[in-house]
Amino acid sequence: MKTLMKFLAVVLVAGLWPGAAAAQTTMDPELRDQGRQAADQGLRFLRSSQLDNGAWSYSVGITALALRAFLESHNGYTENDGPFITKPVQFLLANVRDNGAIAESGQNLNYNTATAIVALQATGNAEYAPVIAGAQAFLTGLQIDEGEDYTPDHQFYGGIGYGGDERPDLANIYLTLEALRYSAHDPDDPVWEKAMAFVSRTQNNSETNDQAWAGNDGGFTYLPGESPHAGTRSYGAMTSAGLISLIFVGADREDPRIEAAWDWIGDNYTLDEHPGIAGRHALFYYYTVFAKAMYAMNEDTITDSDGRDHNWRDELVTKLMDLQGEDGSWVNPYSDRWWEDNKDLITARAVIALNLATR
Amino acid sequence: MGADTQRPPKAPDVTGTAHNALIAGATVVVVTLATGAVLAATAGPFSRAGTHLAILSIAAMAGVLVPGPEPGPLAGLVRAAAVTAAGLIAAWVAAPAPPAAFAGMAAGLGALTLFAGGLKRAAGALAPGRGGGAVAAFLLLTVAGTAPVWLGPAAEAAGSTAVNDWIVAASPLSHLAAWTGYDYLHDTWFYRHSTLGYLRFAYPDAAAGALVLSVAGLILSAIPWRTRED
Repeated sequence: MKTLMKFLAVVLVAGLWPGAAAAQTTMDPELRDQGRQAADQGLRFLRSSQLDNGAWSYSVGITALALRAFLESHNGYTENDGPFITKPVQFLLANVRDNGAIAESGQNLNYNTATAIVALQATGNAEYAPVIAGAQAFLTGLQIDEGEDYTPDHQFYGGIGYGGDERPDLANIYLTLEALRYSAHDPDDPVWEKAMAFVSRTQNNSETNDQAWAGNDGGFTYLPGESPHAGTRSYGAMTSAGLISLIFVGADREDPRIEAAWDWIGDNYTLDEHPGIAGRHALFYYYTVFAKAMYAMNEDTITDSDGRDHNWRDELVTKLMDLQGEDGSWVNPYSDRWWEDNKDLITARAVIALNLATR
Repeated sequence: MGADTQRPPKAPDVTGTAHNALIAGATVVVVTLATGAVLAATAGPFSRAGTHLAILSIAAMAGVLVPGPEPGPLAGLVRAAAVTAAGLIAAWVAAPAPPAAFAGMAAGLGALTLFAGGLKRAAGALAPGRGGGAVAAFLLLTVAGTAPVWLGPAAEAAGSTAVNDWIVAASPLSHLAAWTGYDYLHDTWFYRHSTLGYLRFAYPDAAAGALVLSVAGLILSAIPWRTRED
């Protein structure tokens, strides 16, 4: 039964990936076209900012996101389209480490490796399977469990962090789970069940979270008992990350954790700011993971706390078009935190979100 | 012609240097292990790399505070070696790891201890009172060590990755982190208190940092500061 549930999760999530049949949507067709044009302009900007070696910003993670933005575009780019695709692929492959990680330095190994897996998988090229397998093994090896003398009742059990010995967090594990799902990692690997334990412990849902701090608004925190913005406050990006992580580890739509998270997203629905965070920090990170969560739920409409229905596709596309620069790029105009002043990174995120919204 | 009134040069006090180094090493082991035990008891499961970083930091600071003058570069090297050995013993007891990991940590802690010894000697020339050099050096290292915290807002305002890198490199913790492989700025406490965790930065190159710290320490130790112990 467990294997079946996980298989179903793979099938559901497969809808995120290029080549999958487009879901029927209620999106305004004209707005869809405009959104795709905005995405194309973003890709043109990325072509212009690409380095000679094919990378973006000298970063594996940013390069992987930009590459993904191209490969998931409605234009159906592949390696046959030229060096602007093949060179970043080679850049990723050139940064494969002995331990399977894919990163240009010893920092942020999880983030870089996870995003690289998704990008390499998106090429559809079976030649990269060994690299992907090695990267999967690296990621699963990061999970905090009995190997590090943690017991299942510890709040960090099942978590994954930046890639070293540091504390785990939901932002990192969500990327890991996405990468493992995207690359069809073994559905029977205990990594999923352990991850479920950790993800559950980051939710403000006392019914399913055994931690004393857990509230009941259904949203998610950054790590058990802590958000970088205030105490145990739930916020937008992590709630979307938590929701999609639950889907990745095999929870079904009727799971109370997913329902609680969905209700939080509706009750706190906004695209004008990052819900739960003052200062509009990590705004585009929120847009991207929000788009992933909404797409995975296969729902075009969400109802807010006033009972108003919102077509998230229409509204996200409109918002992103409003924020786009004249050169086709995006940056967060309100905050530089979490690298949101980096045009390559934020443009890649915005295009990925547009690709999902207009699919 | 008058009698030659110049004093003959002092013979190196080999026995005294070795004695001083042994005392320093033994003190560091005891202090570090005790502190490490307290940390382990209160913090719960502790990552190996994080444990190493904590132990090495405590060893370096304990080495500064252990009484005794820093008589010159050669004696300073001997003392640094003793403190380094003590720190590595404590790190191994607290969190065993493959030998290769300790080779790197030896380089990092050795370099920092050399620098700290030179700093202590220089500070002793300026700080009043017996032991003033040790206290001054301890405070300076603490201020530098916490630079990513109190300079975090400035880093965010500057909006420059280069500035971020320099602030991170100013902290001795960053140099130890480079050798232990522990991303301390994303650790719970620092992530909560330092905005640098939200910004793009790179840790200093481990080897380059060790070289700079060692050379600086040797130079500071070689300068004939006039201290109260002279």
